[in-house]
Amino acid sequence: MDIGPLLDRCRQGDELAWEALVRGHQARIYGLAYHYVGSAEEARDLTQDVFIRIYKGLDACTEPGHFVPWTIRIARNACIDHLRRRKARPPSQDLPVDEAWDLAAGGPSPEDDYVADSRRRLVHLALQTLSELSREIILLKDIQGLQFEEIATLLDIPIGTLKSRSNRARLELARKVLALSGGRVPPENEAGAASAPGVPRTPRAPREENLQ
Amino acid sequence: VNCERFESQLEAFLDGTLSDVERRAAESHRSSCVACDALASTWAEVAGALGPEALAVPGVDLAGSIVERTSGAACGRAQSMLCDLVDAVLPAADAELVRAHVQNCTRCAALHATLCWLQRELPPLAAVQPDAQLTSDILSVTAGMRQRRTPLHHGVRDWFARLVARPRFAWEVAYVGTLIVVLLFGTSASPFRSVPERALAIIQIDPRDAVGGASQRLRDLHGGIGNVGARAWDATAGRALQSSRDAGAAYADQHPGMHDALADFRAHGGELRQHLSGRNFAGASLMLQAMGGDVRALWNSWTAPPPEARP
Repeated sequence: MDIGPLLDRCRQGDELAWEALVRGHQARIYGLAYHYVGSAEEARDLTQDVFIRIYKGLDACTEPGHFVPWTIRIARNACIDHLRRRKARPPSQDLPVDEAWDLAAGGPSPEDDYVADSRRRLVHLALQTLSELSREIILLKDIQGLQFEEIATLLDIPIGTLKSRSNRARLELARKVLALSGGRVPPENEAGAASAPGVPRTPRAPREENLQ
Repeated sequence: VNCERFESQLEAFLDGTLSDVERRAAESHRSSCVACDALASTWAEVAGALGPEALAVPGVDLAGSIVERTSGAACGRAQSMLCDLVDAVLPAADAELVRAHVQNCTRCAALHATLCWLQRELPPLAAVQPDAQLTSDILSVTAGMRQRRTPLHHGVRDWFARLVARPRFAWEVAYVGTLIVVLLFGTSASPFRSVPERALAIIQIDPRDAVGGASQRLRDLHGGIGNVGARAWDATAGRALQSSRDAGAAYADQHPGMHDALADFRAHGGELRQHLSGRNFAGASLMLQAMGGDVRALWNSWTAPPPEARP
């Protein structure tokens, strides 16, 4: 079903429509949250929080074509709020991301599947080494597929600046990927990428500084 | 093998480092292409004149060093356009130049290939499948808010229907109503404490005196505002009252039970007024309880489907 009629039904309180909406968009929201916070458990909680915000604000999204950017905006704001709170928390209460992951892992979890894909792992790791703005531009433009106009509004930067920053960010990412894979272009199959040197198994948490 | 391919393999061909299959293909092309045959002959002559080390210097490095000594390295400009080349938004002329540079520059070729690779790898990262439990967790969290998504009047109606259906509704009406009545009329600090006495005094006035005094004043006023008031009444409240009476009568015809419930409610209301005038709060409380029952009967008869709609 198209997003427009689905949203209409959700607004009328149709539980089936809401379930379909959640199932259709949860992977995107979860993926975005995971890229922001770097922890599966926190991404999971954030995804719930984001869907609650979406549910409460369904009436505000009157244009079906704007639904995905709207949800991404909500998810981004939730992630940034979360990172700010995490940063403000006393260090003694913080668990290292790796440790939190170990505690959360009771079997094959989504992040296991995710990180098990070595090509994705390579990209994920390269992304973590980028500057905050470059990483966010890559995340919103090249991963989530938002338009320049939408990202410019979201990040509050001129569209011309955004385009040049986007190109620089992609080049920067390509250089990082090349550096992590020993100067070779990453292979298409998993076996080759798995042998890429300098690629640890566990993803690191993203840096939080400079987050707006 | 075409001309372009032959040129790219020329050094290896002359150096004898091509595989047998490649060498045979190159020889076949050379024998069929006059231009490539001439190029190979010339290159072999130059290499022979300069010595074997001349072949060890790749042509791209030679071109690169020339460019570096003249206009400066072109890598910066090429890399600034690589993303547009990958996105296929570069003008044709620029695309041709960048492509030519990429073919001859190892570093830019690696960047270009990695950008192409990223273009394929990044979009699938948008969706990361969470565990299957997440959906049900989200649905259970949002289920508690479902009532709020229904229109307000539906919510109020449902709430009132549940309230009226409770067995102790009449008692609750009596309790709350009595409390309000006592607070309004019963205590020494009540704002309407003297209302029943004043009502009684009004009732006890000789009607002839009251009418005689009032009629003169009314006559004075009547000339000025009487007509305006009558017209205003007819245009607004009178018309609305008449419409509501008509609608009520039509609705009551469809729901016969409402006639009886409404009559009971009015009768109990009259008795309540009498009890309040006499400051008999116990009797007023009983009447309030009876009126609570009347409200339930009114609601039930109002929400019941019309006789013709019943199965």
